Amino acid sequence: MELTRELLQPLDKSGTEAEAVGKPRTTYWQDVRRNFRQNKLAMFGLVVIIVLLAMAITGPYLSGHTYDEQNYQMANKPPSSEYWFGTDALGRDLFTRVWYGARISLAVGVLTACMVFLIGVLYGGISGYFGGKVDEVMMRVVEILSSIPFLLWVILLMVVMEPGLKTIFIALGAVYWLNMARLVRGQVLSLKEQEYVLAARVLGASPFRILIRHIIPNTMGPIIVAMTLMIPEAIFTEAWLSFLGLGVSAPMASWGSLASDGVGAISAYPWQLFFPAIFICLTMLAFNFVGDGLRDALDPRARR
Amino acid sequence: MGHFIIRRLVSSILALLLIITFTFILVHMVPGGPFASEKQLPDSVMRNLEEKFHLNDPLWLQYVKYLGQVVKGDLGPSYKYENRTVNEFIRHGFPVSATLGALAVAIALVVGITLGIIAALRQNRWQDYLAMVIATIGFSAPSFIVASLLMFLFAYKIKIFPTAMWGTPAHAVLPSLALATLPTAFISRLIRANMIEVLQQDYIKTARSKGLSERVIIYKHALKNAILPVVTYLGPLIASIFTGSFVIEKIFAIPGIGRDFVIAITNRDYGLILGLTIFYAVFLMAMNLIVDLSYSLIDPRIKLTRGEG
Amino acid sequence: MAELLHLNDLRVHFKTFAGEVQAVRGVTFSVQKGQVVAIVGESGCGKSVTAHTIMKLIPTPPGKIISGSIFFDGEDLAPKTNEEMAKIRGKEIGMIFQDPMTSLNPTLTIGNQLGEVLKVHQGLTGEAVRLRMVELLKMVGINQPERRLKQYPHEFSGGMRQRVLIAMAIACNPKLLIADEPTTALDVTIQAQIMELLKDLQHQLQMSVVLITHDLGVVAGFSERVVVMYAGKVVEEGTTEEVFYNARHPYTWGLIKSVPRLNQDRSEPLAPIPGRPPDLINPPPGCAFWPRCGQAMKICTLHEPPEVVFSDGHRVSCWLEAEEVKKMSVKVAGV
Repeated sequence: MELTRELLQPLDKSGTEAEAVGKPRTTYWQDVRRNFRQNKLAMFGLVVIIVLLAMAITGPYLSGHTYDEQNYQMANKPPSSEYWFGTDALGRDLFTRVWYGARISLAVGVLTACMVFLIGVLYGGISGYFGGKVDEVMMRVVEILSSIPFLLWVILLMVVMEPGLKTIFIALGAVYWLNMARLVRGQVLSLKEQEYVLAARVLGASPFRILIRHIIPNTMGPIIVAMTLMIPEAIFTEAWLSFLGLGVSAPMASWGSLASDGVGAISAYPWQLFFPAIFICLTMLAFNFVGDGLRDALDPRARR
Repeated sequence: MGHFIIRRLVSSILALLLIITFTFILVHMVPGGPFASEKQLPDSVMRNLEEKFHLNDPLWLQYVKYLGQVVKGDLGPSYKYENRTVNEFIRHGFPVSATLGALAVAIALVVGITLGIIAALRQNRWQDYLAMVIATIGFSAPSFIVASLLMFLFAYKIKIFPTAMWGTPAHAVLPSLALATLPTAFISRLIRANMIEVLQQDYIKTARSKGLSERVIIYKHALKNAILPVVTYLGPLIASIFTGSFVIEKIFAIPGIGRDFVIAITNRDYGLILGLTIFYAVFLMAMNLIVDLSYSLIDPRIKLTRGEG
Repeated sequence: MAELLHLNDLRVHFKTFAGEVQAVRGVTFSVQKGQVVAIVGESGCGKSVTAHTIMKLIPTPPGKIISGSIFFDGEDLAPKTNEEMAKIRGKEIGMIFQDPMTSLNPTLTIGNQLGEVLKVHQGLTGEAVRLRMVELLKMVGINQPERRLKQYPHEFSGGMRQRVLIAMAIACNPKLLIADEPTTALDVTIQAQIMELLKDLQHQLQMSVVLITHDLGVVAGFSERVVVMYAGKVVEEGTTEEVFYNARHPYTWGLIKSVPRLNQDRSEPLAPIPGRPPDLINPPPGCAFWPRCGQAMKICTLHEPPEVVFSDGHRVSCWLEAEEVKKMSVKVAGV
């Protein structure tokens, strides 16, 4: 190496920030997206959900049969070119019924999650925001309610109310909001006294920036994850209720009611259970993978 | 500690009162009253029934009477099966359900913990993937589907177990397996996650720095800490197994209270529904309380914090 | 004095999501028998990784010793297996960690955790273990040792837990004690007590100590030599005296200036070092410190500085001290 005077010139560093050195920082949401994309299971789940949604929309029109069209001559037929998933005991096309059931099951999942979110944010938000006595009373109520075995609740509500989709939403919403309320309250409380929020304020970050950079990433994460995981749980519970005879009533169908019809016929016509069962499981898996993937991706501690 | 017990007890009693009240109101809110479906009954019979079940009293009096009965441990009559009380149903059915439930809890704990530990110790190797695939499948299949598949495979195709009913140990195998599937999956995931987290704790590093062998580190230092949180899950586990047994007992035609409950739902036998709901609630809440209390006995840290509080 | 520990060009990398972090980039230093050596530097400079690597306690994967050797008592630890290391850990080398609150197993009694070291390495049993444990707890200044042995960690304060951890680390009279920021997580008053205790024990047991710290104040009264690390490299090393009063590296100056002193003029503000350490995934060419260095020259951004050795083993890696540069500077000044 040739040592020259030029090499020994002091550096003029004015204008360059010392901090600027180092690799370019990615933003939180870029990180989240990248983490999520790199999670193969989560991406698989997302694709499955998209396909299922697409099929729920278009599926009932594809086979040329309607979900309630009965044909006794064709009862209990195995899958064929005419009936892709076979037929049920009344000769109805299972393919159409499975995708029709997908609409109901997915709607139960998504709407329950939305309802739980609304109640939870309202209740938990109020409780956490006001704090003190209000918080104590509201949380005691939650504590007491959550010591009640929740499936019993659902059953009771379902038994007493008019059977149907609306009842299912109400019953599921009525029991599942408890955890969401706790979660939201916890988030609100922790935010109120969060040191990093204070620190950001002291450092002169604008309220908008604090909201975007600190509050939303740190609170919405767990709530989004909880909602994602709520969907399969609601579908699961609906299937369970259907099996107990408390789900949607014929000729409507959900995956749960289709599968529970299939259970009785398992020894003779196994496809009647097989197809709805497969899609219930797939949906469970897909949403759970996405939920887990989101949780990992949203966790600020898991960055890098 | 005492404070904690009292707080929990008060909470439980309040919850119980809430359940009784709500169930009572709900059942009496049913359009046309609990006997609405019995349209073929002659008026005289109807009047008799109403007399017997105090249905002519004002609602508040019915409630007070019912509450008084419940406190004395009398859960009332069935509205459908004449001359049978809820207590009789429980006396016959509960031992069966409890046996099935205990078997399922045992399977879930043993298999779940084992799978979880294997997965954690072989993290990202084939054992881990295999265990987690099993757990994920168990997690994603509703128990009635698992039960039907088990029945299809091991009772119809390969005839090694009876298809249904109750009596011999062989009768218990399929239903308890089906009942244990979901909690097994849950526990194995929980244990795996705990174990992986515990192995990253500072005290594990300390144990390594002391020159302990990997075996001692895992079995002495990590395992206890990873398993302890499972105890908190025991309450919900028992609840999920008992409510899960509704479905399983129905499928395998097992004469437990779960099946009674399902039949009561189908028959709209409100007396039995009301009584069994309260029984389940008391039982499950008592289990929860016991589990919570025992957790504070097992974990040395809890004893202190609760005791100070 | 005989050499006990010698690190030679040690390199440790960690595979992470974003890339391979070069946490330790060619560290060389040695520790004599009975000597106290402090490794100082900011967080993330690789000092803690270095300490963990001596014990081979870095999680592998993602961590990996890329090259270099760790001679301890004449033997290279770098190629040793976990099983072989287990015989050395706790027996020949003891280690204490930063956070006493999380470093004890919450579900086992103190006696259980302390006793297992004695059982594993010294084959003690029964009453002998108990007697030795009582003796150890007394040595580290814990009152009522008999009663304390039966207690769980949550019944101890932070300072007391650190004492217990020290007792574990010295239980087998190790030749070397590695203390990784032993006082960082403690209250200031407790810090002083723990440092006093370490000094006493070092004296009593005549063991060597590697003290990892970012607090120069802790170093002054204890260590004989100081190793200053920055961005995974040793930038300066020498006797404590030399490094404190005759620091040659601008980074060391910065460290010293950022420590508050009692005799300091109150109007004179503390001078923290501006900026932050570089990203060790893609370490910049040249000297890693130049972006934060007040004396940086063009050459610092291009070429790695040479190591210059002065009397007493005082060595520094900085272009300012390089022979050629000094000559040139004289010329420049002379013109």
